[in-house]
Amino acid sequence: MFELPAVQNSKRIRTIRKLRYQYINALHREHAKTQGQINADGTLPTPENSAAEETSDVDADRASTLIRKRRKRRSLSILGCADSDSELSDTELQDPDAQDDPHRHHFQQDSEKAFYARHEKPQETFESWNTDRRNAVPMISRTISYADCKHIERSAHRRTIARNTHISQAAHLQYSAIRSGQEVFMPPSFGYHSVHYHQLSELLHLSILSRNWENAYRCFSVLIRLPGIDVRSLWGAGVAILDALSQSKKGIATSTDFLGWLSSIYTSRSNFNHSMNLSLDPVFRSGSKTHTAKFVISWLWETLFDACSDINLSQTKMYDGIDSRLPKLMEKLSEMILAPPYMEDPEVWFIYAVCHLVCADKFSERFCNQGDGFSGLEKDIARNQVVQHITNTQNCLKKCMVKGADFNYPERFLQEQLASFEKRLYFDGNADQSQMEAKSSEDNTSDSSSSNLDTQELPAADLSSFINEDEDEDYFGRSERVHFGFDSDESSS
Amino acid sequence: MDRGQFLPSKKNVGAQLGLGIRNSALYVASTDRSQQADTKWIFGAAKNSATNDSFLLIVTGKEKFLDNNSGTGSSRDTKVNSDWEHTGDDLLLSSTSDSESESITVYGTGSKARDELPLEGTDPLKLFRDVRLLPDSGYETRVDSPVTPLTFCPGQILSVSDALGEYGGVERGGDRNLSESASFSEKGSFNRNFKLQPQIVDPTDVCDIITGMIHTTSGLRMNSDAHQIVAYASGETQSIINFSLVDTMDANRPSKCAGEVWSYDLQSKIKNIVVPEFSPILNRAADVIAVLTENSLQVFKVKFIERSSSTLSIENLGPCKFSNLEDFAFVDIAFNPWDFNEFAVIDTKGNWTLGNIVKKGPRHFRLRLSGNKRGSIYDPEELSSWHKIAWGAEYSSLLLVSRSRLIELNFRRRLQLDVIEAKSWSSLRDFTRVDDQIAVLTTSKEIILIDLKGNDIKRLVSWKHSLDPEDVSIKAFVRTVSGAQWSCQYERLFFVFVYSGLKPGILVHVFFQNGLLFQSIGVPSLLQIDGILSGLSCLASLQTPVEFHQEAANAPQTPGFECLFREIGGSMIWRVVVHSARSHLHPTKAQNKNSVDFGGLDSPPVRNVNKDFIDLPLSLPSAGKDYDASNEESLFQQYGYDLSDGMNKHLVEWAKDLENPQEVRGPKCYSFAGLAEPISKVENMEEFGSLLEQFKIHYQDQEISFTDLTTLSSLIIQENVAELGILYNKLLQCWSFGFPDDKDTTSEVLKSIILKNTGICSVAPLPFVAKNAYNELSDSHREIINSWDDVSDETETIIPLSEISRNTHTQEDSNFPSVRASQQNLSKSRNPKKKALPPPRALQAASQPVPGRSHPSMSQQQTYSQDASNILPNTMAPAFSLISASQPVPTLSDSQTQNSQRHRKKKKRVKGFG
Repeated sequence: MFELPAVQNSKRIRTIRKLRYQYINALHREHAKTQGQINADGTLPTPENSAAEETSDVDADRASTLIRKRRKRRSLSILGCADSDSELSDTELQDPDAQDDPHRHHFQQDSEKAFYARHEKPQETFESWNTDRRNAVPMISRTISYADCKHIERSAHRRTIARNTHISQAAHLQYSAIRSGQEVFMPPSFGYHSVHYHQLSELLHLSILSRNWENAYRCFSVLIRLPGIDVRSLWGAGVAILDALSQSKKGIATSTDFLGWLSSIYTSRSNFNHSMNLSLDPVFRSGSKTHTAKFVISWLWETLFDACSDINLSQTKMYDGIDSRLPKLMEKLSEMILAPPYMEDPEVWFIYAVCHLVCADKFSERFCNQGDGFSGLEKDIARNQVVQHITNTQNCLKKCMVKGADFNYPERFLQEQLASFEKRLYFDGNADQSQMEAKSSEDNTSDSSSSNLDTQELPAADLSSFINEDEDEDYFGRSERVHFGFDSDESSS
Repeated sequence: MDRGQFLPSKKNVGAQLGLGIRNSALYVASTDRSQQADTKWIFGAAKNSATNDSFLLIVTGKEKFLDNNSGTGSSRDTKVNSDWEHTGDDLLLSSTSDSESESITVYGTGSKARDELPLEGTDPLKLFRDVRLLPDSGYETRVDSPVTPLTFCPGQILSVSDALGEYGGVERGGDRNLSESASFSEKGSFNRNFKLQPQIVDPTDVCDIITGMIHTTSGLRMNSDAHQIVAYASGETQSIINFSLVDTMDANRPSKCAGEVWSYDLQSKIKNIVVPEFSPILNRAADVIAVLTENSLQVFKVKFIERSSSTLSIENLGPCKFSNLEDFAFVDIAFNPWDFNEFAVIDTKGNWTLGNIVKKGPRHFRLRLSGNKRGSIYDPEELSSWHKIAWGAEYSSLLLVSRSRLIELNFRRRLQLDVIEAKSWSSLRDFTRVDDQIAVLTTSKEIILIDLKGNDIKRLVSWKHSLDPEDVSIKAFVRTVSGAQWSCQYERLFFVFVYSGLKPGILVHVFFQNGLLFQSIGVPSLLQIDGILSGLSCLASLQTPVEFHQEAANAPQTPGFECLFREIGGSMIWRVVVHSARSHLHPTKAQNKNSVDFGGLDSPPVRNVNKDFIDLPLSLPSAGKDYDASNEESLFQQYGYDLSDGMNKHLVEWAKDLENPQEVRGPKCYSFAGLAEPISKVENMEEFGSLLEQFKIHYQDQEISFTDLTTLSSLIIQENVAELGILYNKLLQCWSFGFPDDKDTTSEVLKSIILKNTGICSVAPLPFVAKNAYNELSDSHREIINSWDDVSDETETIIPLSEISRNTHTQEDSNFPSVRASQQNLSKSRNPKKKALPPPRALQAASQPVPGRSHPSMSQQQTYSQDASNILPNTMAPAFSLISASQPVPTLSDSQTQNSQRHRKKKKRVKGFG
């Protein structure tokens, strides 16, 4: 009952696909004919079709290359080696006999391709969404009559069946079911491998759904090693399993590591080719120059979550006793945003913004907690750091808006957060504050003393000092103190 | 959670979530955190295991809610036996009407059903269904009804369920043995999972059971509450519509039908039933129910509900023929949530129109379709006739859905917006309007929450459900529950049930809402309902308040609600309680740590798997540490003694059996593991091999057949290896992963393979068996057998089975004269002599009865065959072939086949000379 992470291809499936698309294309043509949208000579189909075709200014250029190719092939065919040249055998011109009627030829060549020439293959979502009500078009108020519809279907059927007189009976049955508006569920292949793959993937999903992570891990590890299985169509399951297991089980990498591995192995540098008949969708599976792979985004988010979590702070991720995870992520991000597709992806920019936001939060919080322990200079430096991060956040958010006007984020919520961070900087320490400060310095005498000595070490002070403070927040009711204006200069020495 | 929080996402994409994907989170700053105190992030998909657990759902308390048979008298399901009361549709009896295959399937599912089946003794088989003459009007051809556009006979009329393709093969349980029954039902599940034939699904079969609230006008006047009603189709051709009130007064008691069932024969198959739901701001329910059949639209108006006797008074507002639009069948109808009398219909090709229920008019013509408010979303590229229509977020907006498009119409401003075009990676499977704002769209890949209100339609949250994208019969059902009812902190919960007509599982995914924030609960749950084999035809939920379910006295109460469903092709409507599995979770985790535990799964595909496979040991076998290599020789000796002791015991038994030749029913088979306790560890495989070889040779003359090592080796590595030491080395090459204990593991695995799979079988009783079988045959069969051996040489090469049987026959014949009781005695007397094993070579030489043989077994049989051809007449019955087919141990027959093949050559030569 679950999705198989591999391409299913058999002669049976191909036959039905071919029939289906041939029939659809024939229907489309017949319908267009009745609408009077088709030219008399039948060279170019409907407006949608031509929109999906290459734009007109390229056409001249393209025509000349076609002619050149044709000439070259002709001369090659005289030499007797035309078909062996793969470079020249572009799909549209393989059969010289059909050159006078390119559309018809196209139809014969690959009906599926012809179908997708009229429709966009989206990369971000499985469907193409158009949610802007301003794009509404006048409603079609003419209903399709029974006679018209049957006429279209009959001619399309004639056209299709003329090309497929010798299909098997089973295929014919399915074709007639499709034609009468029924739907056909094609059972998976009965071959040994297919059955094995199916059983494994069913077991994997069942185990995940019943939270039986050990079993799921075993199934997953077997499944991804089978030939023909694309690990990229399974990575979500892998992440879920590793998430659940990596904490309890030793010797298993974390989900973040797995995502990092995926991101480094599978490139996003390829172009998404619309003219290819892809059997697997790119939505969650892969990336291209215009589409950031979902696992890369996921990796960035997960790393960010990890970097912010206080627990599982292992020794390897510490550098000089400092949590280096967030700076590392930001470094990585700053590299990534230099090249497509990340350069153009608003979500990557948003993640970058959130990184700065988290930094600003951390630093401003520590500034709050240790405010009195700082000398004047230290205070200025710390404050500058926070301000810098706030500015960076703003810049990144701006960039995010520029890169994709379609990106939605709760702007007011973020701006409020930034404002509150800024407020903290200019907040005057009162009795509560000093009391808290005294307590924290008791707790972490060594830490605060070391940071007092060296101003340069401020951004890198131990996090644990203010983790402890978190718990005391309610006690001191700091959350109610936000209404201090951030332009009050009393705190600056 | 205020101040306009929502998940950051791209427009038109929304928060794209899936298994293990929880990106698009929102950071909560430390100052804000103080109020909530627990999380730094607001995730798209909650990861918090505590909240997750309360949304892991299970079903319990499956019970019969309605049985259509009792109500209408015309039954679709036949009673199979008395157990039917318990198992209901579980037991599916189907017989092929075609004469070509006589296969009969008794399909028992679920351990419960299997246990209750009287597998031994009374046979539950009935070759034919109870035949009843059916007065169903669905069969009648009527002059005025248009012929439905089907070029084939509907499956219901054929009444041979799709079991034909699915449950092929005869499955008769004649054995209570667990593994036996498990293996045959495993085969069943295998066939079920992999349907051989393409399944053709009619997408216009939308719904045959629905629940909803009904508020009559008089009830409104009298200020009484709305009544819950259940409407369902029944009858042989699903052409009778039934309405019944549901008694939900007592929250602790399961709901049930109250009062009489009101039925009406529509004389055409019911495709869809719709109970309109009105906008929550109106706070009232409808009083109409629309029914779409194959040839007309019928609307029923509930005039009056008498509370005391729960009787309904219903008026039919008349059929609306399809010819009123464009002659295509209507597939869906929607009612305006703000106007009770306005509705919209859509037909198979996408023509839609608005209509009105007129107050006054001729009795049966009170449905009027609008003449100008109509249009079409006909798409020549859309082949499926599935369409859905729903009202949008406004009074004048309609949502029209086909498999590849979702279109929003504004019929007042006469504008349309193609919101979704799904022609490439996915196709739309179902669309449910939840309320004025939210709709749930189920595609072949995802479950998507859509916000209809506002300037633009918003794609809020989506969850990639990983169900089979090819499954065309997927439908969805959404139940909204307020968070307070479910005792959690969220504002509103959306339970999306995704079910299929082809597979029995139900996937439930939960989304929740907090202000503007729409999130998803991490991993969905899979509901497995006992005894459901094929898919679900329809699922509905009773609008009862969330009840708190308590498993045990001290278990925590878990929230849950009731659902009704019907299996595809079944007449029974079942009621189950879907509730949180919080109390169930922990016991399953605790048990059985050493082996892979599928027990918690308890799903049909796994439940039917043989127990040996379920309890797979997680760790590879490893030998005990306290092993002394110098000790090996004595270990081998001890094991040799044990083996021969065990063997001798069996020999005595066999000899006893042979004393009464009439009773002999077949040879008995054992393995080495059955003779003696397996040896603890084997270091020197060659030595061990020669030990076993000696053992085999020693007992060869006791008419005991052993499985050849070559048989096993060819199964494992596809090579004929005659020596255990060589086989071990070959395996070691394959299984060497560079771990320190590779050798131990390999030797342990090989040891257990050899000990468990070397078949030991006495061939002595075979001639008796053959004789007995021959005696039991009827004269005509004897004639055939007698004439069998008369055939000339050319027939020998035609059928391999006959060859085998013939040759085995000669072999067993050959054994016949050599059976002597004295031999058994001989073996008994000989064994005590074998006190200390001499060095292997010496023993081999000593124990070989015929000197100079490399393959003693083969050559021995050769001599026998020569004897046989000399001694016995050619007309002796090859009755052994019948017996050998039913032999339980395949290894034996394998070895026999091998032997007999060699044997044939020999025999031919003999014949040539003769």
